Amino acid sequence: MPGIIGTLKLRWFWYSLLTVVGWAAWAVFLKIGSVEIPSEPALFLQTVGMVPLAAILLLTGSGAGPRNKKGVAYSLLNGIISGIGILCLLAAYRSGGNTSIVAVTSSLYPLVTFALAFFLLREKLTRVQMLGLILATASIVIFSL
Amino acid sequence: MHFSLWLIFTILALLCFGVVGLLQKVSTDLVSAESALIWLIAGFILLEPFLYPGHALLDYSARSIGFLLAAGVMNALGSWAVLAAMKSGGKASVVVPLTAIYPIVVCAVTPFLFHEHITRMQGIGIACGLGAIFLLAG
Repeated sequence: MPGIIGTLKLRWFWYSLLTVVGWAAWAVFLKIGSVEIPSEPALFLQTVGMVPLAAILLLTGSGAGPRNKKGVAYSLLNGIISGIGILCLLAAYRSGGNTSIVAVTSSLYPLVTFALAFFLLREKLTRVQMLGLILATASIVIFSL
Repeated sequence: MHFSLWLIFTILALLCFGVVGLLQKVSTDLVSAESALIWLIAGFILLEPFLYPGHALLDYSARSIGFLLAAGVMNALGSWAVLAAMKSGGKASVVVPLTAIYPIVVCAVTPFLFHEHITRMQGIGIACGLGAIFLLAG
Protein backbone atom coordinates (compact mmCIF):
# COMPACT_ATOMS: atom_id res chain seq x y z
CA MET A 1 0.00 0.00 0.00
CA PRO A 2 1.39 3.46 -0.90
CA GLY A 3 0.31 5.25 2.32
CA ILE A 4 -1.39 8.64 2.35
CA ILE A 5 1.58 10.59 0.90
CA GLY A 6 1.90 8.04 -1.89
CA THR A 7 -1.83 8.10 -2.52
CA LEU A 8 -1.73 11.89 -2.99
CA LYS A 9 0.43 11.20 -6.06
CA LEU A 10 -2.08 8.74 -7.52
CA ARG A 11 -4.53 9.94 -10.15
CA TRP A 12 -7.48 7.87 -8.93
CA PHE A 13 -7.51 9.82 -5.65
CA TRP A 14 -7.74 13.21 -7.38
CA TYR A 15 -10.33 11.93 -9.86
CA SER A 16 -12.35 10.74 -6.84
CA LEU A 17 -12.18 14.22 -5.29
CA LEU A 18 -13.23 15.73 -8.63
CA THR A 19 -16.23 13.40 -8.52
CA VAL A 20 -17.07 14.69 -5.04
CA VAL A 21 -17.01 18.29 -6.36
CA GLY A 22 -18.99 17.43 -9.52
CA TRP A 23 -21.70 15.50 -7.66
CA ALA A 24 -21.90 18.17 -4.95
CA ALA A 25 -22.59 20.79 -7.64
CA TRP A 26 -25.10 18.35 -9.20
CA ALA A 27 -26.90 18.03 -5.84
CA VAL A 28 -27.00 21.82 -5.32
CA PHE A 29 -28.32 22.53 -8.84
CA LEU A 30 -30.83 19.70 -8.50
CA LYS A 31 -32.05 21.15 -5.21
CA ILE A 32 -32.54 24.60 -6.74
CA GLY A 33 -34.21 23.28 -9.90
CA SER A 34 -36.44 20.84 -8.01
CA VAL A 35 -38.09 23.54 -5.93
CA GLU A 36 -40.47 24.18 -8.82
CA ILE A 37 -40.18 20.98 -10.89
CA PRO A 38 -41.31 17.54 -9.56
CA SER A 39 -38.79 14.68 -9.37
CA GLU A 40 -39.54 12.79 -12.57
CA PRO A 41 -39.49 15.77 -14.98
CA ALA A 42 -36.43 16.96 -13.02
CA LEU A 43 -34.67 13.66 -13.72
CA PHE A 44 -35.73 13.90 -17.37
CA LEU A 45 -34.13 17.35 -17.63
CA GLN A 46 -30.95 16.45 -15.76
CA THR A 47 -30.45 13.50 -18.13
CA VAL A 48 -30.84 15.88 -21.08
CA GLY A 49 -28.13 17.97 -19.43
CA MET A 50 -25.77 14.97 -19.51
CA VAL A 51 -26.04 14.63 -23.28
CA PRO A 52 -23.74 17.55 -24.33
CA LEU A 53 -20.71 15.96 -22.63
CA ALA A 54 -21.41 12.66 -24.40
CA ALA A 55 -21.80 14.59 -27.69
CA ILE A 56 -18.48 16.41 -27.16
CA LEU A 57 -16.71 13.11 -26.41
CA LEU A 58 -18.23 11.56 -29.53
CA LEU A 59 -17.41 14.52 -31.79
CA THR A 60 -13.83 14.87 -30.56
CA GLY A 61 -13.27 11.13 -30.78
CA SER A 62 -12.33 10.97 -27.09
CA GLY A 63 -14.75 8.14 -26.58
CA ALA A 64 -13.11 6.10 -29.28
CA GLY A 65 -10.75 3.30 -28.43
CA PRO A 66 -10.81 -0.43 -28.34
CA ARG A 67 -14.44 -1.55 -28.68
CA ASN A 68 -15.13 -4.25 -26.21
CA LYS A 69 -18.65 -5.64 -26.31
CA LYS A 70 -18.61 -6.63 -22.63
CA GLY A 71 -17.28 -3.20 -21.63
CA VAL A 72 -20.00 -1.47 -23.65
CA ALA A 73 -22.68 -3.74 -22.18
CA TYR A 74 -21.48 -3.10 -18.63
CA SER A 75 -21.42 0.66 -19.26
CA LEU A 76 -24.90 0.64 -20.77
CA LEU A 77 -26.15 -1.42 -17.82
CA ASN A 78 -24.46 1.08 -15.52
CA GLY A 79 -26.68 3.88 -16.89
CA ILE A 80 -29.85 1.76 -16.97
CA ILE A 81 -29.38 0.43 -13.42
CA SER A 82 -28.51 3.91 -12.10
CA GLY A 83 -31.75 5.22 -13.60
CA ILE A 84 -33.77 2.27 -12.27
CA GLY A 85 -32.24 2.85 -8.83
CA ILE A 86 -33.37 6.47 -8.89
CA LEU A 87 -36.86 5.44 -10.05
CA CYS A 88 -37.05 2.84 -7.24
CA LEU A 89 -36.04 5.52 -4.75
CA LEU A 90 -38.79 7.83 -6.00
CA ALA A 91 -41.27 4.93 -5.89
CA ALA A 92 -40.24 4.17 -2.29
CA TYR A 93 -40.99 7.76 -1.27
CA ARG A 94 -44.30 7.68 -3.12
CA SER A 95 -45.32 4.33 -1.57
CA GLY A 96 -45.44 5.86 1.87
CA GLY A 97 -41.94 5.09 3.04
CA ASN A 98 -40.58 7.13 5.93
CA THR A 99 -38.26 9.67 4.30
CA SER A 100 -35.44 9.17 6.81
CA ILE A 101 -35.54 5.38 6.69
CA VAL A 102 -35.63 5.31 2.89
CA ALA A 103 -32.79 7.85 2.64
CA VAL A 104 -30.58 6.14 5.22
CA THR A 105 -31.15 2.61 3.90
CA SER A 106 -30.51 3.53 0.27
CA SER A 107 -27.41 5.53 1.22
CA LEU A 108 -25.70 2.37 2.46
CA TYR A 109 -24.92 1.34 -1.13
CA PRO A 110 -21.10 1.57 -0.70
CA LEU A 111 -21.39 -1.45 1.60
CA VAL A 112 -23.12 -3.40 -1.19
CA THR A 113 -20.37 -2.38 -3.62
CA PHE A 114 -17.74 -3.37 -1.06
CA ALA A 115 -19.33 -6.82 -0.59
CA LEU A 116 -19.63 -7.37 -4.34
CA ALA A 117 -16.06 -6.18 -4.97
CA PHE A 118 -14.81 -8.45 -2.18
CA PHE A 119 -16.52 -11.58 -3.48
CA LEU A 120 -16.43 -10.97 -7.25
CA LEU A 121 -13.27 -8.90 -7.81
CA ARG A 122 -11.31 -10.23 -4.82
CA GLU A 123 -10.63 -6.66 -3.68
CA LYS A 124 -9.28 -6.37 -0.16
CA LEU A 125 -9.01 -3.36 2.12
CA THR A 126 -6.41 -2.66 4.78
CA ARG A 127 -7.62 -2.20 8.37
CA VAL A 128 -7.18 1.56 8.01
CA GLN A 129 -9.24 1.62 4.80
CA MET A 130 -11.87 -0.56 6.48
CA LEU A 131 -12.11 2.05 9.23
CA GLY A 132 -12.40 4.68 6.47
CA LEU A 133 -15.27 2.72 4.92
CA ILE A 134 -17.05 2.67 8.29
CA LEU A 135 -16.49 6.42 8.80
CA ALA A 136 -17.67 7.19 5.25
CA THR A 137 -20.80 5.11 5.87
CA ALA A 138 -21.42 6.95 9.15
CA SER A 139 -20.98 10.28 7.37
CA ILE A 140 -23.38 9.30 4.58
CA VAL A 141 -25.99 8.07 7.05
CA ILE A 142 -25.76 11.30 9.07
CA PHE A 143 -26.28 13.42 5.96
CA SER A 144 -29.22 11.37 4.80
CA LEU A 145 -31.06 11.83 8.12
CA MET B 1 -43.61 -12.43 6.42
CA HIS B 2 -44.94 -9.18 4.99
CA PHE B 3 -42.75 -6.65 3.21
CA SER B 4 -44.11 -3.18 2.58
CA LEU B 5 -43.94 -1.94 -1.00
CA TRP B 6 -41.79 1.03 0.01
CA LEU B 7 -39.28 -1.28 1.70
CA ILE B 8 -39.01 -3.44 -1.42
CA PHE B 9 -38.38 -0.33 -3.55
CA THR B 10 -35.82 0.96 -1.03
CA ILE B 11 -33.90 -2.32 -1.03
CA LEU B 12 -34.04 -2.42 -4.83
CA ALA B 13 -32.58 1.12 -4.94
CA LEU B 14 -29.85 0.10 -2.48
CA LEU B 15 -28.95 -2.94 -4.59
CA CYS B 16 -29.03 -0.94 -7.85
CA PHE B 17 -26.65 1.74 -6.52
CA GLY B 18 -24.39 -0.95 -5.04
CA VAL B 19 -24.23 -2.87 -8.32
CA VAL B 20 -23.51 0.38 -10.20
CA GLY B 21 -20.27 0.77 -8.21
CA LEU B 22 -19.16 -2.67 -9.34
CA LEU B 23 -20.19 -2.02 -12.97
CA GLN B 24 -18.14 1.19 -12.98
CA LYS B 25 -15.07 -0.87 -12.15
CA VAL B 26 -15.64 -3.81 -14.51
CA SER B 27 -16.60 -1.55 -17.42
CA THR B 28 -13.46 0.61 -17.11
CA ASP B 29 -11.34 -2.54 -16.98
CA LEU B 30 -12.49 -3.11 -20.57
CA VAL B 31 -13.11 0.32 -22.15
CA SER B 32 -11.90 3.89 -21.59
CA ALA B 33 -13.57 6.12 -19.01
CA GLU B 34 -14.83 8.35 -21.85
CA SER B 35 -16.35 5.45 -23.75
CA ALA B 36 -17.90 4.11 -20.53
CA LEU B 37 -19.44 7.54 -19.89
CA ILE B 38 -20.97 7.74 -23.38
CA TRP B 39 -22.66 4.36 -22.92
CA LEU B 40 -23.68 5.20 -19.36
CA ILE B 41 -25.48 8.29 -20.66
CA ALA B 42 -27.03 6.14 -23.42
CA GLY B 43 -28.37 3.88 -20.67
CA PHE B 44 -29.88 6.89 -18.89
CA ILE B 45 -31.47 8.04 -22.16
CA LEU B 46 -33.21 4.67 -22.56
CA LEU B 47 -35.23 5.53 -19.45
CA GLU B 48 -36.24 8.98 -20.69
CA PRO B 49 -39.59 7.82 -22.17
CA PHE B 50 -40.65 6.77 -18.67
CA LEU B 51 -39.82 10.21 -17.29
CA TYR B 52 -41.01 12.45 -20.12
CA PRO B 53 -43.61 14.81 -18.63
CA GLY B 54 -45.17 15.85 -21.97
CA HIS B 55 -46.31 19.42 -22.54
CA ALA B 56 -46.01 20.19 -18.80
CA LEU B 57 -42.32 20.69 -19.49
CA LEU B 58 -43.14 23.99 -21.20
CA ASP B 59 -44.90 25.31 -18.10
CA TYR B 60 -41.78 25.42 -15.94
CA SER B 61 -39.60 28.51 -15.59
CA ALA B 62 -36.44 28.83 -17.69
CA ARG B 63 -34.46 29.32 -14.45
CA SER B 64 -35.47 25.96 -12.98
CA ILE B 65 -34.96 24.18 -16.30
CA GLY B 66 -31.54 25.83 -16.61
CA PHE B 67 -30.47 24.63 -13.16
CA LEU B 68 -31.59 21.07 -13.91
CA LEU B 69 -29.73 21.04 -17.22
CA ALA B 70 -26.65 22.36 -15.39
CA ALA B 71 -27.17 19.58 -12.81
CA GLY B 72 -26.98 17.09 -15.66
CA VAL B 73 -23.71 18.60 -16.89
CA MET B 74 -22.21 18.32 -13.39
CA ASN B 75 -23.54 14.77 -12.98
CA ALA B 76 -21.87 13.82 -16.26
CA LEU B 77 -18.62 15.45 -15.14
CA GLY B 78 -18.75 13.63 -11.78
CA SER B 79 -19.59 10.35 -13.49
CA TRP B 80 -16.68 10.76 -15.91
CA ALA B 81 -14.32 11.47 -12.97
CA VAL B 82 -15.46 8.40 -11.02
CA LEU B 83 -14.97 6.24 -14.11
CA ALA B 84 -11.53 7.82 -14.65
CA ALA B 85 -10.69 7.07 -10.99
CA MET B 86 -11.58 3.40 -11.51
CA LYS B 87 -9.68 3.33 -14.82
CA SER B 88 -6.61 4.81 -13.09
CA GLY B 89 -6.45 1.87 -10.72
CA GLY B 90 -8.77 2.93 -7.90
CA LYS B 91 -10.48 0.01 -6.18
CA ALA B 92 -14.29 -0.01 -6.36
CA SER B 93 -14.41 -0.66 -2.61
CA VAL B 94 -12.37 2.51 -1.94
CA VAL B 95 -13.54 4.89 -4.70
CA VAL B 96 -17.28 4.27 -4.14
CA PRO B 97 -17.34 5.18 -0.40
CA LEU B 98 -14.89 8.03 -1.03
CA THR B 99 -17.07 9.60 -3.72
CA ALA B 100 -20.29 8.90 -1.78
CA ILE B 101 -19.34 11.54 0.79
CA TYR B 102 -20.05 14.41 -1.64
CA PRO B 103 -22.83 15.68 0.68
CA ILE B 104 -20.11 17.15 2.92
CA VAL B 105 -19.30 19.65 0.14
CA VAL B 106 -23.01 20.37 -0.27
CA CYS B 107 -23.25 20.93 3.47
CA ALA B 108 -20.23 23.22 3.42
CA VAL B 109 -21.63 25.49 0.70
CA THR B 110 -25.32 25.59 1.68
CA PRO B 111 -24.83 28.20 4.45
CA PHE B 112 -23.54 30.59 1.76
CA LEU B 113 -26.05 29.66 -0.94
CA PHE B 114 -29.26 29.03 0.98
CA HIS B 115 -28.50 30.75 4.30
CA GLU B 116 -28.99 27.43 6.09
CA HIS B 117 -27.08 26.64 9.29
CA ILE B 118 -24.93 23.57 9.79
CA THR B 119 -26.37 21.56 12.68
CA ARG B 120 -24.18 19.82 15.24
CA MET B 121 -25.13 16.47 13.69
CA GLN B 122 -24.08 17.67 10.23
CA GLY B 123 -20.81 18.89 11.77
CA ILE B 124 -20.20 15.35 13.01
CA GLY B 125 -21.05 14.09 9.52
CA ILE B 126 -18.46 16.45 7.99
CA ALA B 127 -15.83 15.29 10.52
CA CYS B 128 -16.60 11.63 9.72
CA GLY B 129 -16.41 12.37 5.99
CA LEU B 130 -13.06 14.14 6.25
CA GLY B 131 -11.73 11.32 8.45
CA ALA B 132 -12.94 8.82 5.87
CA ILE B 133 -11.05 10.61 3.06
CA PHE B 134 -7.88 10.47 5.16
CA LEU B 135 -8.29 6.79 6.06
CA LEU B 136 -9.41 5.56 2.64
CA ALA B 137 -6.37 7.26 1.11
CA GLY B 138 -4.11 5.44 3.57
